[in-house]
Order: sequence, then C-alpha cells, then structure tokens
Amino acid sequence: MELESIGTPPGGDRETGDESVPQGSDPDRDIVELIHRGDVRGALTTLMRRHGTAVYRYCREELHDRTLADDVHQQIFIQAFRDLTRFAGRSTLRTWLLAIARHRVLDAAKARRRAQAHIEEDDTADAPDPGPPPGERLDEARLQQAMITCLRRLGEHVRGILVLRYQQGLTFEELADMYRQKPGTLQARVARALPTLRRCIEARTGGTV
Amino acid sequence: MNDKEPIARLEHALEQLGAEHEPPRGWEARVLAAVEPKPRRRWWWLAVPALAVVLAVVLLPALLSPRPGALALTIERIPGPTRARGDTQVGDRIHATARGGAGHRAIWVYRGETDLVAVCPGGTGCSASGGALALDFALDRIGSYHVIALAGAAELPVPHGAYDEDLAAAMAAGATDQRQVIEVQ
Repeated sequence: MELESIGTPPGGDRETGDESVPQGSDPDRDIVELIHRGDVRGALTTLMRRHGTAVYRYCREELHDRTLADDVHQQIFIQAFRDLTRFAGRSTLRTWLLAIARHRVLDAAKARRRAQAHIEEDDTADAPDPGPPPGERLDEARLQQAMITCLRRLGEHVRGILVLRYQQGLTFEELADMYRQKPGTLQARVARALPTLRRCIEARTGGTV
Repeated sequence: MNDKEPIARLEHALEQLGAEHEPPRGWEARVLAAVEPKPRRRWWWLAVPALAVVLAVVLLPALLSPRPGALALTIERIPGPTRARGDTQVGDRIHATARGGAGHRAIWVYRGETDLVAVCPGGTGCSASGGALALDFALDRIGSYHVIALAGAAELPVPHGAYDEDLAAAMAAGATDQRQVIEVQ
C-alpha cells in the first residue's frame, strides 16, 4: 500500500456543527488575538464554541464512558483556560487543545484502569457481532459498531493516532508534533493499522467492509 | 476486489466516528463557572475570626475556671465567761479564719514582735474545712496580738518567732498576707 494514499486529510470541509473557523496561518488566529489582548475568558468562550463538540467526540471515543467523557471534556477546557496565556504558537491552537485533550484522556483512562484493576475485563467486547450472511457487504451501522469494538482491540497508542487522524482531521505533521515522532513513522503505523482493523471487523461480523 | 475501496470506506467510517455524540447541555456554562475568579478576601477577613478563636481558646478556660478568691482574714472575738462585751481583755478567745488565696495557707499569731503564740497548721486549735483554715486560741496575756493570714502557691516557710523575719520569708516565698492587730488589755 502506498503511504501517500492513506487518507485524505479530513480538513475543514467536514460538517462538525461547530462555528466556521477564520482563515489564516492558524485558523484560530482570532482566539490567539483575544489572548494577546488579555481577554482570556473571551478566548475560552470562542474555543469552546468552535472546538467543544469535536473534543467531546474524541473523549467519548477514547473513553467509551459517557460520564467520564463529560467530566474529562470539561477538565480539558478548564486546563486550556489556565494555560491559554502560555500558548506559544508553535502549533495551531486546535492541535495544542487536542494535545491537552489527549493527555487528560490518557490520565483518565489510566486512573480508571487502576480503579478497576480488580474487576475482570468485560468480555462482551469479544462476543461476535450478529452479522449478515458470510461475504455480504456490511451496512454503515454494523460497520460502525464493529469498528468501535475493533478499535479498542488495536491498542491505546494506535487507536489514538487513528482517532486523531480521521475523526479529528489532524495532519501527520500535527500528529508528529503531538507524539514527537516522524510523520512518516506515524503514517506507516496508520497504513498497517487499517488492514488490521478491516480484518478484525470482517472476522467479527462475517461480512465484508 | 479493489483493495483500496474497503480502506477508503474504513477511513470514511473513522471520520464519522462518534458523530452522533453531542456535549451535555450547559457544559460551557459549567466550565465558565469553574474558571470564574474567586473573590479575593482580604487577609483580615480571615484574621478576625482566627483571632476570635485564639482569644476564646486562651481566655475562656481562664475565665471559666474557678478562680481562687483573694485571701481573707476574719476574726471573731469570743468574750470570756466573766465579761459580756467591751474591749478585748485577757480571758477572751478569738476565732480566726483564713479563706481564699492560693493553695497553701497559714495563720500565725504573734504577741509583740518576737513571740509566736499560735500557728496553724501545726499548732493546737487549728482546723481546716471547706477550703478554709481556722484557728481558735485564748488571749491569755496583755499585749498587741498580730494575727497574720498567709497564702501562697508554694509551700510557706516555717515561722521561727520573729515577726518581721518570718513575714519577710513568707513574702520571699511568694505569699500574700492579711493582717489584723488585736490589743488585749
């Protein structure tokens, strides 16, 4: 598989339900200007309006726990408010925000693992999904359902990269900043992960992607 | 089968991941409330109640604890069998009572400056009850009787018979005193 063919960056043409971003080197330049003017509260308000939903979906996908995701989502923006004045512009504001989100999600997941260490793993995730007759193409709903299960089996690191890459639309360069790895390395990981994901989905459902 | 098509479909499905999820209603307001700067209290808003607590802790026990009253000396003159009233005379008795003061009490009676005629405790006619010390003795000679009640936190010195010296020793030991003079004719 050619690495260059992996994924068209989802970019700003997706409908997220959020406020459209202004043009410029950083789409959130207006927020950065608010920070520079000392209006940190105004900056936070715009940041929440613009990226709140996307960050929330990231939390939900990574944590698979609505209550925990609600809490972590709010904590992310509270931390962002505290750190906004230190935003140095080395990345876009959105990448910076997602880096905060990633760390908070990892912390929350780690805390949950510690708390539930004594509880046996829920094995419902391993139960095969009821699927169509073998070889039949999966419908969208079944594909989504199986994909969520299979993403959890990919491992935290790869899953995080896939979610940030596709759900959040980060470029490999932005991911490289966040993960402190080379863009090509991350691209190769994604290239390897997608067929694995496909095989998992097809094995679980008996259908084809 | 074209191998790129399923991958493209997967990528599209990944982009749609969680698209049905919306943040809970009112979350922005909750975040704004959480980052709202708390009103800064002046330090003395905290200092005033703190000081009140300290004063209460320090002073209340002292105010509420039973304070030993000041030393008091009362003397009751009891006329002798041959006399009903008038000046104190030989043959009368006195009943001296010392109350209050610190833990150690004493009553010393001197006739003149150098003659210790009664001590309490340790002498005849001495009794203690209800935190008071009482001395009962007979005035059997003419003269000036100095009745001294003493009280002190520390143990009182043993009197040797010299009024000034004994009193000075008691004062040096931190005692307080009450004195009365009875002229016996």
